Amino acid sequence: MTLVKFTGLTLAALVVTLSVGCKHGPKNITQIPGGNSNVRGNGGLLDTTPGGRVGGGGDVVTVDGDGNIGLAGLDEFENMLMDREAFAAETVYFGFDRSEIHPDDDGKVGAVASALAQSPQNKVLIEGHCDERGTEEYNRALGERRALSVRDRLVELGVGADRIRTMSLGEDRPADPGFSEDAYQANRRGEFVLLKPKS
Amino acid sequence: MRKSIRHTFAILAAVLGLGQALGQAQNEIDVDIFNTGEVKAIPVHIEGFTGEILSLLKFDLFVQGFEFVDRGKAQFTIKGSNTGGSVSGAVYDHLKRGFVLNKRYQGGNLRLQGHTFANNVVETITGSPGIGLTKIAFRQFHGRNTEIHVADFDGFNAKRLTSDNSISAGPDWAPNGDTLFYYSYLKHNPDIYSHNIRTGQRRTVARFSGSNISPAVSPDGKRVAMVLSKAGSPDIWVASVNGTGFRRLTTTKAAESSPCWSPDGRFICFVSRAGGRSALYKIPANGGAMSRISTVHVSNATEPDWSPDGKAIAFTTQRGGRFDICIVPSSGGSAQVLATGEDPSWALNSRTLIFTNRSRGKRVLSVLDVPTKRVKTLPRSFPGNCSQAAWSN
Repeated sequence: MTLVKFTGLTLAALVVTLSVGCKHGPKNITQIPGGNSNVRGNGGLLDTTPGGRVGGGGDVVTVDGDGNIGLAGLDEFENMLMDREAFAAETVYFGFDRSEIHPDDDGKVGAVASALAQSPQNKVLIEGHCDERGTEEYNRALGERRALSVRDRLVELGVGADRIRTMSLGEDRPADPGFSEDAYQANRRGEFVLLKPKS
Repeated sequence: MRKSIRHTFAILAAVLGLGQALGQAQNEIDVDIFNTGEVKAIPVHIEGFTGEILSLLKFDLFVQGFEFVDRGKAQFTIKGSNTGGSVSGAVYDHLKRGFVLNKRYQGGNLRLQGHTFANNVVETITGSPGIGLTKIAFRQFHGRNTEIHVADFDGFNAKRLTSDNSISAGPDWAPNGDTLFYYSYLKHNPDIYSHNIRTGQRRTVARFSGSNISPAVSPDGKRVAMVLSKAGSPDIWVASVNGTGFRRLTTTKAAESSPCWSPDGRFICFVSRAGGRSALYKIPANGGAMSRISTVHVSNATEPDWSPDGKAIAFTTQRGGRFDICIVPSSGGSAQVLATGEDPSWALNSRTLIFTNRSRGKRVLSVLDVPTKRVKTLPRSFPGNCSQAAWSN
């Protein structure tokens, strides 16, 4: 109880101080650090610098198990010419939120496999795309899963895993910018880009 | 015993007319964000402020659970001025009949002073930390490309951070607020970079074949969780922030996405299709078995974000092109739909969320006060579509 009384008195003193403060205008001045543009720390204005050049990096990838075939290192695909026309007719399409290749499209994957078999110097990039009816990061992963499904089928058809690169673009590169079912169907796709060595 | 002491205080204070003494007791308000009933906003009356600072105070306070009423219906009156190049303000408590805050601000600029006063108001009345001085990083669309931008949390003082003419996305703050992590197709593959926003120095964190996406910095700032597909499937990986010591945490054939950390750094929550439909899971950050975080009443969960106080996980439910913001206790359980939108990110107060509202290709950032379920779009809009806002500490 003594403690309570003591604290009570302290509070009373504090209150008196505050009341006095009010009557005579604000005395409790808070100094905000810094000037208009160069305040540091989380509380300040952002003094930002745009991103500079990015140095090298990236390792050659090692393969591991769990039923997943590891991807070849990006180095394997450096300095190759991209040909988007060669396989333009072989674009495969996916069901909503699905990543399995539709049986109707299997012939297209077969055609790409045959072409690659005849030109062992060439490689392929598979781009996975989505419609806009998924969240952005979910679509980024779904697009990769689609590209990987196509890649796995190519490997089954005899194309070396080290000749295939995948890249998901999520919903960022729609084939059709519309909002109809037809547009969505056109956007859920896997595109093949032929990679040829520079001669 | 503590309770009875406080009770004695109250009486003592009342007898002596010491309204201010109760200011401290008020600090123990613990808002239950899972309250399914209606949580009432705190009614306040604002007077004396004008123009930009009045708008600023109203936005800051609205998104932290306050509403604006006539003086007669107010629990607190917030009065002050923003003339003469400085902000001063006081808070009068109508129940206690006394001032509980009275301050004048100098330096910085008017907006900084206003946000600081708003923080003091919030801290005095609710005991929660104010979010007025926090920043957001987000993705802004420039034609076909997207760049990383940063701004004050209300959208003011926006600055463009990347000019790569590429797709840059998925920003996340290091806890010190100096470094952002994001991924970019700058080198014709989605790779993860760290970017010191003071010096502009960038470093490659992950550049492997396939996806290197969705970086999430650990609460201690030492590690980064991410999605890599280098093993042949989009999996959750963890590495040191300098891009060494990569460790694969999930080994499913299904796609995983959107990792985030528990605030104690022990777990990573993420999305997996391992069970068929997309759902929330967690896995020990040092490796182990993944386990479901149930979201009863809500399916197709994506984009989790663990609240800084550890209690809740906010996420997006996707239903054939419609997106809703939800929360669920971090241990799993009954999920609650809060508002239309996607990709929520918690503020440091564990009550306010920023998220994206999308409608026919248009994307706008909005803020949601979870307990009162009220939404406001950012007062300062951006020239292009914006998404993927990440909230700084």
